[in-house]
Amino acid sequence: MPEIEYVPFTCTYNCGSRCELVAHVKDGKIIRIDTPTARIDSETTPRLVPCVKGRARRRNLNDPERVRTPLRRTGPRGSGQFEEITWDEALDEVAYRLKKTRDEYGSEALFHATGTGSIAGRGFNGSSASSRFFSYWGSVTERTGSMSYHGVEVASEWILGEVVQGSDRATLLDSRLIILWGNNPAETRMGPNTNYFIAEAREKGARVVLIDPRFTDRGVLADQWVPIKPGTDAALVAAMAYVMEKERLVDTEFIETHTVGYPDYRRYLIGEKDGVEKTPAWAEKVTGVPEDGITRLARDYAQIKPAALLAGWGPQRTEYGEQSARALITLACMSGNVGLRGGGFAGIGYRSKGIPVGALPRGSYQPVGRVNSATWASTVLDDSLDPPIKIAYIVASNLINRCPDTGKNIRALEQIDFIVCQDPYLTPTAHYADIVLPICTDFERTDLIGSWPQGSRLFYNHQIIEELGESRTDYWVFSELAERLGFYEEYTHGRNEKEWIAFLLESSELDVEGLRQDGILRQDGEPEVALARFRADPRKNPLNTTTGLIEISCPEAEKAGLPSIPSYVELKQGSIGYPLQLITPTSRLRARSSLHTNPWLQRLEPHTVWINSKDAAVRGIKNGEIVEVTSGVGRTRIPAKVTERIMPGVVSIYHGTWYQPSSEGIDEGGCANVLTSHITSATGGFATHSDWVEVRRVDN
Amino acid sequence: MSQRLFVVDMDRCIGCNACTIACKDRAGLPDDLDLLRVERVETGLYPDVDMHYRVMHCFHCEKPPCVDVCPAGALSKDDGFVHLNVESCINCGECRKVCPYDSIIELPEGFHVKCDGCFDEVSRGWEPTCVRACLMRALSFKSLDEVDARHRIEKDIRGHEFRPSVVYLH
Repeated sequence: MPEIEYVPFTCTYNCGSRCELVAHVKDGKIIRIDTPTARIDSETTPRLVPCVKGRARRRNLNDPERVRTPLRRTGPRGSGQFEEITWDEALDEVAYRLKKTRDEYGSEALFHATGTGSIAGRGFNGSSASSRFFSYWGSVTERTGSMSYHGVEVASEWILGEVVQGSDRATLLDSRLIILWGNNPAETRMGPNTNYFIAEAREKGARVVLIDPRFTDRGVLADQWVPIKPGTDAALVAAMAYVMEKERLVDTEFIETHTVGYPDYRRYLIGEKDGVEKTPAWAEKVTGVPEDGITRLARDYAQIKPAALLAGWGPQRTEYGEQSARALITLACMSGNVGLRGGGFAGIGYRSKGIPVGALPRGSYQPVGRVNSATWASTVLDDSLDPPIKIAYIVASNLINRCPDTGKNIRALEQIDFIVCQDPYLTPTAHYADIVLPICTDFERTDLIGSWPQGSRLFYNHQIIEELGESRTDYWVFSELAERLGFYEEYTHGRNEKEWIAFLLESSELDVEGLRQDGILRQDGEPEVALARFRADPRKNPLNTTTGLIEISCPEAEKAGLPSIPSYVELKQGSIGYPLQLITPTSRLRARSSLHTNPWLQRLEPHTVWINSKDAAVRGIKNGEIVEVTSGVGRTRIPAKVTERIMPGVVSIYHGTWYQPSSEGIDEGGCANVLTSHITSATGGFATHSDWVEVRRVDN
Repeated sequence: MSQRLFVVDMDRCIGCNACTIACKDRAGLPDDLDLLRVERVETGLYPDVDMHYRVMHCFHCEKPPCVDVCPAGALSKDDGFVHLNVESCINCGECRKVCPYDSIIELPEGFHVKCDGCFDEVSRGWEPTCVRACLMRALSFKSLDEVDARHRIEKDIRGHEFRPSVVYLH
């Protein structure tokens, strides 16, 4: 009987974590996915235990949606009709189109549309391979801005002068109050041990408060749930700040020594700016949070120290997302929790130090950010680009599914002459491609994988199984194209992936043998506290702002058309004609739209629209029945989950399920972005939590 | 080996189902069958809602009713585990009728399966698969004297008369 080989690996999804997994391999097949068997928990370096997604991956190995050979479209776009072609035919055609388009229109006519289906490698997968390729080929059009955290990124730059990351998770053990503000690590992960440390802190006596329109899975471990209307976070902050101000609970010493601009915000709070005092009673009307609850929350946050204000990214995915992000940082300043161990605020929310290994060389061409990350389709459709987009080169991205307004995304793709899609799966986006190039998964290739919010880790992913069918790595595809386009030597230096990795490791001072054998290197130090040095001595360790201090009021915001202070601004654009606010959170069962096809994961929880029992009752909607959700841009059919776990007036659909149009063109896949629009924030942030919908019974 | 207990800390379980899938992957079951389920219980009215999760699988009862009713002698209690010998199973389903936890599954192949307590792994000094899979360290497998009985819930567990080897902490 052949021996079972135990091969360590980590996943390369955009999931918020890099965990320690082990594949059981027999006869060249993965027969099981497991964790390491040794107990290695210690107080500050607990095991990075994989989530349900990583555990279920064996079920995707023979996914019927895997692309096994290069494909050429034979039917209309979107029809899913393709013929199998050889790699030579496919690569020759792609190379010909690239050359012809560059000659006729210039390289910017190519839209390099990358996604996060395969990330964290060293230059061989997804955008890491394609961006290097285009750096040798020409300046191509790319998307700008982060779909994840644009608002908080911009806000952090304004207020702190840089994108300051949160403290190490282990410092939560010192927290006595943890506020999860629109933050649900039970579903979003963002660090394999975030939930674990919160539970540990709670066991040590920390109180956990959840502020969220939904009583999320995380809510199970919260001591208190504070439901809030989406988009009103800055109003709740203002009322909490008002209470702290009125009851003299503000850490005035910290405000005076470490911040500028607070007096202006204070004038806003007490009504000197707009004649409205930001009392809890005022905020109750705006946020839906009861007045006395706001007062208690403000007192708790001001008095229980240290208190960690862990804001998620949901609140800043709104029309005024910059304001909520700035307001939350301001509140942390007022309570004096900035730079404090066990306190702090999330900011972009994680600390990822990584272990440095060299990078592959790049060419001289830089991409041009001619379109927005979320709303690129509007720009393609309004004919404003010169040169216009002639080729969409899509890598590791289920673009139409992942960006708001799926219908518009499709219309934009339909305008583009030639579409290439490189993906392991025949995604809804691949259905619109002219050529689909089959890429192998991370089980089928070798790479060095960096860590995520979890301290310093470096993973060595061995190739565990043979490439499925004729699938190849992104790096191989681009090497072949580089040969056809005349820059093979520059792109590859004559090396394949394994040779590159050996080259990178040779020139490092890491324990390469240990890394190869264990699949992981750990460099654990003392857990870091964000802004601790600034707190200790702001003059010696100034921030990268004009004043070197935290700028609660900032002129950059005003230049962007926002108030100079982090005040609340009412959502305007999305609500016309629709009564229910829509939120589209992350499901624990998918990484964005990756793993959607996994039957094991699908079975764990039906994909539904959450609707409060009151909203359901007036619409005659029963739990489990199919309803139609409509917005200003589209409609989808999906079962209803009638529940007490969501605030009345708000409905929720987890994003990431695949777009699945019926013969009448109505989505039957519950694809959330069929409903979301191209509203952006003042600085161009992804604002899908500003959209409104109606939910109706489907009468047959 | 003396009787050990599955301990579920309900203050930690976030219902993530990593245990469910880890178990299913090990057991190699069809897509629609599981040896370990997580019951999700939602209670209360908005905004005073509450919910909890309850991990359910074979709890290797001290007085297992399934062993008593098996006419084929396929079920036995040994070393703290209830074993099911699939070779002897005649697929009559008597065990399924008496199990309070619906933890015995009929396979299309014509025999039954259940959680085997990962006894092969436990005998190698490992923890059971579900325990190792738990991100929250909500699950553990312990001897009786190791169990922190602070908030032990026993009486409201259905089938407690069979002395299931499980402790829910809350």
